[in-house]
Amino acid sequence: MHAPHQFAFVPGSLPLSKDLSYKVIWTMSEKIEILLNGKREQISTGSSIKSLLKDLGLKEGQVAVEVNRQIIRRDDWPTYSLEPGDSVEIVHFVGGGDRQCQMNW
Amino acid sequence: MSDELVIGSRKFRSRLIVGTGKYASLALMREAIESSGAEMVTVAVRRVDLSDKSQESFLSYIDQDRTTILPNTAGCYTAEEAIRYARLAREAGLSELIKLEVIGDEKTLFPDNEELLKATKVLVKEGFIVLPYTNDDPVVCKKLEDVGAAAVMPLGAPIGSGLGIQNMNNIRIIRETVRVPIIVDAGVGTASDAAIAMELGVDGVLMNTGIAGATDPIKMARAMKLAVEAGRLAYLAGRIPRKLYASASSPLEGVLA
Repeated sequence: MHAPHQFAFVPGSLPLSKDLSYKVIWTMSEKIEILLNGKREQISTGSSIKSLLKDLGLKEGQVAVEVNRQIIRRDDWPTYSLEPGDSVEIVHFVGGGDRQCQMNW
Repeated sequence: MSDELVIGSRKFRSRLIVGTGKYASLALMREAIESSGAEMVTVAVRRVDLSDKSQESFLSYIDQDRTTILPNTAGCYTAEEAIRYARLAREAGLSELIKLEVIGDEKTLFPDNEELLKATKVLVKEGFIVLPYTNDDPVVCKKLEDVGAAAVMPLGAPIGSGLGIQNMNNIRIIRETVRVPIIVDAGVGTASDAAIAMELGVDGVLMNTGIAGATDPIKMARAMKLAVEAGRLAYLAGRIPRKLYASASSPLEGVLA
């Protein structure tokens, strides 16, 4: 639904009335859009997987991460930097025996 | 005498494996697992719900010091999907154990044996300890063993049906056909079903709905624990042959004239 250059909400950014053009340039250079668990999300430019997990408040020990369908080993999380348009999947274990959840991805 | 279930290099004193789905609460799940005495529990791999951070506490309800996590590929319909889930599970859990499910039909949840074999082959090559959920078909079980499955998990009846062991002959034939451990997976509705499975000589029983769906899951978990133990003991003890007519237990000598 987003237009590609839509404003992102940036906490602490200048009020709109002051300098709109400045804000647009600033926002575009600081944020990139990725597909995160199937949803479009804005994240900081240069985010590594490690920093993304930290920003999301997830414990590293309990998740696995795929980028564009490739599993990224946890040793590589600090150095793997995310690019605009990357499709990121973060999964974890949930209750399950045989089959109780619907596949949705 | 120790009588352990051996899967790969892991040894288990309990022959009951339980699922962690369908419980009303995580606290109830924890209590039921404890009551079952199970040392291995199955879990599913799913997307983290980023809008609900409370979800991540699931694993904290499982005592990982005494419980082995057995991730499954539940919900997968192709070898490719199942392989993807297995790889993610290994990365998340740092263990090579995988309960492989490749479903072929939505209504019965019967396995797709062709895809199952394909996925088993690939995952065994990648170093996984593969436990495939399969039909109660001795030929398929043998093929799975031949491509390197660490155990076979034939169903007793359709998943969640509670119908018990539908084809005892097949389970017995599977026992004679494969050397790897056999774990009857799915179909157990009550304690006697689990005991019957064990009496047939299988190495273990896996269940979820039979416990989680009971009116009192904690009590049923204990019933299943006892049933699996009883069935195992009865198998080891060697039952008497079935006869059509009576044979008296008391001596005929010394009866009053």
